[in-house]
Amino acid sequence: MRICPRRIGLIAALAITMAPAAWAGPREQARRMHDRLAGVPPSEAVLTAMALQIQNGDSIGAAYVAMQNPEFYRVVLKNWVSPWTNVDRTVHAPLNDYSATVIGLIRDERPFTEVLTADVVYVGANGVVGPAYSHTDNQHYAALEAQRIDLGDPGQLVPVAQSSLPGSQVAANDAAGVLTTRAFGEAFFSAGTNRRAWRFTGLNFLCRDMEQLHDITRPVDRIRQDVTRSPGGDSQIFHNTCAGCHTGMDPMTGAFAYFSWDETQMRVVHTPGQVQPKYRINSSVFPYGYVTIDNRWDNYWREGAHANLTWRGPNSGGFGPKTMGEEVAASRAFSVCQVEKAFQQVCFRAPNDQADSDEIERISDVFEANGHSMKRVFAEVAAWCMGS
Amino acid sequence: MTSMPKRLSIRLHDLALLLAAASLATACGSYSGDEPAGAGPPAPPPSGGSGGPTDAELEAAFQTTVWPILNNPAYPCVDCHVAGGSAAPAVADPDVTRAFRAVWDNGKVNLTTPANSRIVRRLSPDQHHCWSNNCAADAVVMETAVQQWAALVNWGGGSGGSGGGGGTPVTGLVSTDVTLADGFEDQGQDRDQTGAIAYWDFKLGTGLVAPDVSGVAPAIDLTLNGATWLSSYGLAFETGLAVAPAATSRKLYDRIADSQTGTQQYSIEAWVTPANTTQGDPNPARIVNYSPNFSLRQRLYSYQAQQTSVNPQGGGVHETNAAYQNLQARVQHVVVTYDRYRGRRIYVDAVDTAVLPADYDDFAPEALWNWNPGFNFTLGNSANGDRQWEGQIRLLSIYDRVMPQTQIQQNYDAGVGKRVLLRFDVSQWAGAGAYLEFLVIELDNFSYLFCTPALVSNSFNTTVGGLRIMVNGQTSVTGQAFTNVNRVVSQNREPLSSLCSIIPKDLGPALDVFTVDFEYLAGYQDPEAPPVTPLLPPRQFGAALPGLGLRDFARVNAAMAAVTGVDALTPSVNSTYLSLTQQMPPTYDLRTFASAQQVAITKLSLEYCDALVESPSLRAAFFGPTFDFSSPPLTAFANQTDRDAVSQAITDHAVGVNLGDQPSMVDMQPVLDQLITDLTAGCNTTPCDATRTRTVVKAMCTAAIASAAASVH
Repeated sequence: MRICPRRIGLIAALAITMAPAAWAGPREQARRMHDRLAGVPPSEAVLTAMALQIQNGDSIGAAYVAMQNPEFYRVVLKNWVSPWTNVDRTVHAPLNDYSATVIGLIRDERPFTEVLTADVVYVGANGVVGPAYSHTDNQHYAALEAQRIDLGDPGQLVPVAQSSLPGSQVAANDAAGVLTTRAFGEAFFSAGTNRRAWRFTGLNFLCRDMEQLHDITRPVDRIRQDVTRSPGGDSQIFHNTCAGCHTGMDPMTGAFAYFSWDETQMRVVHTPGQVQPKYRINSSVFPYGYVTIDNRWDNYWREGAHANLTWRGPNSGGFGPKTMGEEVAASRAFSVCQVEKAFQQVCFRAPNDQADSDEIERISDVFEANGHSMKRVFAEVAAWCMGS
Repeated sequence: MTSMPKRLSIRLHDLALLLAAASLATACGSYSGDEPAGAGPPAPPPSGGSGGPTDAELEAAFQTTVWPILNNPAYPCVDCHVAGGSAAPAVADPDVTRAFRAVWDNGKVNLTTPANSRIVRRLSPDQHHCWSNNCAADAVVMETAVQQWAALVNWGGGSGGSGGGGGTPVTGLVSTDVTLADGFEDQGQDRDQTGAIAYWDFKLGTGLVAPDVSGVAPAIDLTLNGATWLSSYGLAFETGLAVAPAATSRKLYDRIADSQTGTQQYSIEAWVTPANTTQGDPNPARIVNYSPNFSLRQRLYSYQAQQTSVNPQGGGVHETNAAYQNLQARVQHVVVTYDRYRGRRIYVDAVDTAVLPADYDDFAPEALWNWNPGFNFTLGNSANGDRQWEGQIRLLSIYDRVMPQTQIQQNYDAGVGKRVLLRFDVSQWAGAGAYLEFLVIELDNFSYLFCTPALVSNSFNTTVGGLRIMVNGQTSVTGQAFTNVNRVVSQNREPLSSLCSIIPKDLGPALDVFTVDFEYLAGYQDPEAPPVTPLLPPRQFGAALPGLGLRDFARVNAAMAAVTGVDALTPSVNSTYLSLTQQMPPTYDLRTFASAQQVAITKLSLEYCDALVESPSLRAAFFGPTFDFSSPPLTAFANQTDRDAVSQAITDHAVGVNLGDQPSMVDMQPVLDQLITDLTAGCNTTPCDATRTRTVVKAMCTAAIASAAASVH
């Protein structure tokens, strides 16, 4: 028989309008916390246990209980990370080595700074799915997702060194967390000039797009030859617009000078000591511009308007993505950015008032004081947004 | 903004030099001096020092003049240019200090020449978010406000500001001052003019005639009719054209196309800067025009070479492959060659633009005898003015032969524009005869290039570094490329960099006075104080946002699986889910919810409820063992207790138990029970079987788990 959609709609409407704006006790708080963290309703036993913990003042402990649900990893974290892994920032992206690595680092409570620095990638354990990890396709991760493998199970999703993978072109001291994963390369090293790789690193890990990193006062000595200094015969445009992004971005993208994406092989290629040709294209545009000779990077934002991101890395310059990742991950902006992202994911909104803002700063302190544990961040944020 | 005593200290000196340079330049006629001063972002002049307005004075004046415009809530500036807004810098911030710093430190205002202020030029000519429908009028309003600002602080009035006085003894680590007139022109590599029959180097820089300097009579002198001179050599076209009489233009016909005297081949060589890549479609814009005989044109990202020939197959238009986007809005060296053996070829920056066979000219062996000698040769437009091209022509040469690749390459390497070698005396620091040499190029109307510095001295084993170019005593905040230079001198002529600084013009090439500021030189040091780190702007809070959120597609799926106990990989469920993921909510934001998403959620819930009710084990776990799914509805639902048991199970699982912020059984039961009544009403007249019973339960299940009580959290 046919079911009348109108009547079902009536039920739906009733359900939401009937929901009273009641005071939230421990049980309601536990339910909200579980829903937000795991994405699914809790079992009665879990709900009761969490409510008791909240009642006893241990909301962080209650959050950790909620995060034991496999859907925290398989659904919530996966959809949290997926937009970071592609240019369109769509959530409808398959699980890949980038997102799996973020999930694994959070699950294992490894310092989240490793997301930009470590020689690690998370893969399915031997035999969990048919296709093995491959540098040239994503079938391994697609299978993990299609078979709904429990990514929260340390026996099923395991860390391995990127440099140890068969066929890897990345040595241990080159590997830089997600920055040297296949998915990152496919999204951000393909074609272009690798500037995209920096832009999305800043966007995803500093929560700042180039417009927010604009600074025309930085030196122009690292701006490559492919940027005209007089677009349309008007160098004012260069001074006021182009330079604002390129002064800081171009020296950062030096870190990726040995990386590219091979469309034929469908893999990341790494050529230590050999600058990718894309760094020298269109060199006639401004022959007096910077010529990339190695994978040197420099952070020109340590001075000027964006010094207030509080850069605390060991060096303001270096070689390759690993040290560049260290520079980003050591900044205060990195810590605050991770908290802000978790806040939006769990609270379903951006910080809404000064109390929210202050809480983000407090949780950022907690993040830094607790080994950069993202799991702890999720717990803290969930406790803040569980209602009162 | 940086503020260094050494910059302040040289003002009087600069002023004297500036005036002297102006006199000298005029007397020598090196530069026309009629070029408008550059309007790039001016360096924030030092403030707060001896004689000049303090930052507090500048800010106070800003607060009553420019800031009320920028911060006007009715104007669009405040929509983006505030702290934490979508665009930087925060020149319209409600915090006047932050707005002032954003304007001042980023060089967005030029108090010396208010019309050249960035905040004025963004309105007109840029037409950037004007507040009325008349950007030019808005720009006048802003310019007036900047003028008022300058007047309030007595800018340039003898006590401060650009070119103003003040002055303390020189203590900074700086070179002597130099003007362009102090340098000597570098001719660069020699151009190969072999075969040139007409040549315009556009060096005259003034007047209404751009002469043909090829030396081949008759000279095709061009009359400027709307075209304007570039001080850096060249003509700029926004409106109008440069046109030659038909009588002299005929030289091109005679030397190229005439059946007796013409070579039947030619080349057009030009250094051009297209203003944009949006012009010329559908009617190509005329860059070089002897139409209909030949012309060099622009259509979007392509150069076109048009010509007439005896056989139409050799004529028409040949253009660069649009996919290659050979034409860019930057200075480019363009060469068109034609002969009867290779047809037309177009070279950009000395590279043949043809890559694939289809890119080459589809020509036939041709003569050009049918050219019309009666037309005018023009630049920047057609003779009748209906094909305007916007851009700059820096140099143009026409040949009655095909330029060989070697000649094209040589002329490309020779470059274009005025290039001056400037020597900055640093003997005060580095010993007698020591100087710093730059190759200085006028990039365009707004900036100089200071390139490839080299230190000539005997200061071996000392460090030179931290160079900044100053114009009229001010250090440009933008375009500095040598601040990171750090080199130990090891030779008499020590090259310091292969790069160029791009330094905004201030008063123009005839008047600007240049100085080089060092942090390290010949055993001396005067390091720059690092700029003050600004505080992070406070977070901006918008309107209150929903405290609740949607479950996104994956959460909906996982939640339904969790509620019903149905494995999400059950084929019927999984295939439906995969087909509906794009239709279900992609995000938590309640405000994005659409009816199509509810339809998708309902479809998926039907699959879950079907799998639940059709599975004896799952339904037993969900509903308990008592309800009889094998009876017809009139039997199964005959008892109110049985009816309520079904409603209770659905409510408990889908909505939750004892949750104050969720609907309770009291709320749900009447609605679900009415659904039973409605869906079994027909069974009173037409017998229904047990299938109907399960269908009714599926409907109740669907109504609950597809409801907001389940999809909102």
